[in-house]
Amino acid sequence: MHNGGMNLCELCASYMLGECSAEEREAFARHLLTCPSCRQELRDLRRIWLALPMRMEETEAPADLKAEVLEAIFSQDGDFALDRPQDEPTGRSDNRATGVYAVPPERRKRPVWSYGLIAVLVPLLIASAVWNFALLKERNALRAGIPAQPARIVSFMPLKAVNQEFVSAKGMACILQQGNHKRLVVYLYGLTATEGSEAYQVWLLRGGQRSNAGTFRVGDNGFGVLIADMPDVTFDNIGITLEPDANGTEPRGSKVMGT
Amino acid sequence: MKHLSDAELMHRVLEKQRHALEELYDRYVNLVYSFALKSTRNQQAAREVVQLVFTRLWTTESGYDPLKGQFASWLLTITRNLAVDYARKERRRSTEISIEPEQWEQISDPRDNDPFETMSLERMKDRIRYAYRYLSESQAELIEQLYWHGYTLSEIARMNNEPIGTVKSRLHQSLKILRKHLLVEREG
Repeated sequence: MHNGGMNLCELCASYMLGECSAEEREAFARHLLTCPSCRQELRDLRRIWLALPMRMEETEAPADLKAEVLEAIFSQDGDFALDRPQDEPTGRSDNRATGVYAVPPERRKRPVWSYGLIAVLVPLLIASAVWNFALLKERNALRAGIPAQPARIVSFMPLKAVNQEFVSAKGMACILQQGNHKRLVVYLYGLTATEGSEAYQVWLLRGGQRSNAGTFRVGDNGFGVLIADMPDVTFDNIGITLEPDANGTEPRGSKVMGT
Repeated sequence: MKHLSDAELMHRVLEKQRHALEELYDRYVNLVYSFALKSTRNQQAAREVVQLVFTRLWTTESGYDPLKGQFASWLLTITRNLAVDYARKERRRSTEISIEPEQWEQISDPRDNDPFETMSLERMKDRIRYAYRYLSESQAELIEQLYWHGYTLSEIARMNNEPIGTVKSRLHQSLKILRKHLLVEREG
């Protein structure tokens, strides 16, 4: 269509409407670089285009549409609800796992450690299912007839060994929310068994502050799980130490794992 | 979530935070639904378009750049693409979408302190309604077919049984009138 004699300025509207041929599009795009009046016209056309819908009368969307739309979207993402709670500090994007499971693999490069995480996650889900079942029974016994809300993971943090001695240890921490109730779940494996009064202790770290989130012991199988009500503190990281006993309010032993 | 800006919410949506998507839904579903209903003229189709739009928000990787204009405009560009595409499929015609979001980005070149870029939606509504009064019936009809129902210029020419040059020139006239009365603040 386009030939040397054609006035490229006339293509402006067709260009915006996407109704040019490929050659016209390319020619006009080049032309834009040197024609300020076409740039201005294109800008104006775009504004008109963006303003056009404002003329419509607003109709209220049907109330039942929300559940339908959101359920369809989230069910495509599988069962992992990886929302971070609103008050959780930002700036942890380097080690956050949020999104890893929520996005199809081809969309985002999967970090190497995430394969390990999947291995961790499966037993964790079994553990949490068992726990949920127990919780459900307990609740139902307490409040017969009132169904408990499903638990979901609202924050998820992989834990890595920070100590040579525990190099094979792996695990994760997550915050599970059920209704308004939040619990911290820490799940680890490959740990050294505790001896005597020894205990592993979980610390919530923020700045230089540490707060105790609980202790657990580990048997010969190397598995360790801590489930605790979520303390009313904000934190950036989680650290785990091996302590001489379960009574400390400050870390005394060495750090074993961290986020 | 209520206190967050649209841009902050969209950023969280990119991080797959569900509450952020829910909040955007609450803020904009009426706008999206109204658009879809006007474009498709069918309630079930409008529901499906709303589904497509919010699914697109959830899966988009490019996100929204606040420097390029208002969130509502960006959202409506996406809505129009999907609604028009839907309408075209229904008509079993070309599935080509007229303005891709990438193209929208390309053609957007906002400058600082441009009153149009920061104009409130209410103000924009008043302005476009005012400008529309200057269009003749055939000009308004052309915009209706082109913008809302996604017909191409050549399709419109065929339907009206007139040369495409005539349709193009009517479009130019219409856009000129709208520009004159819509963008009067900048020019006047």
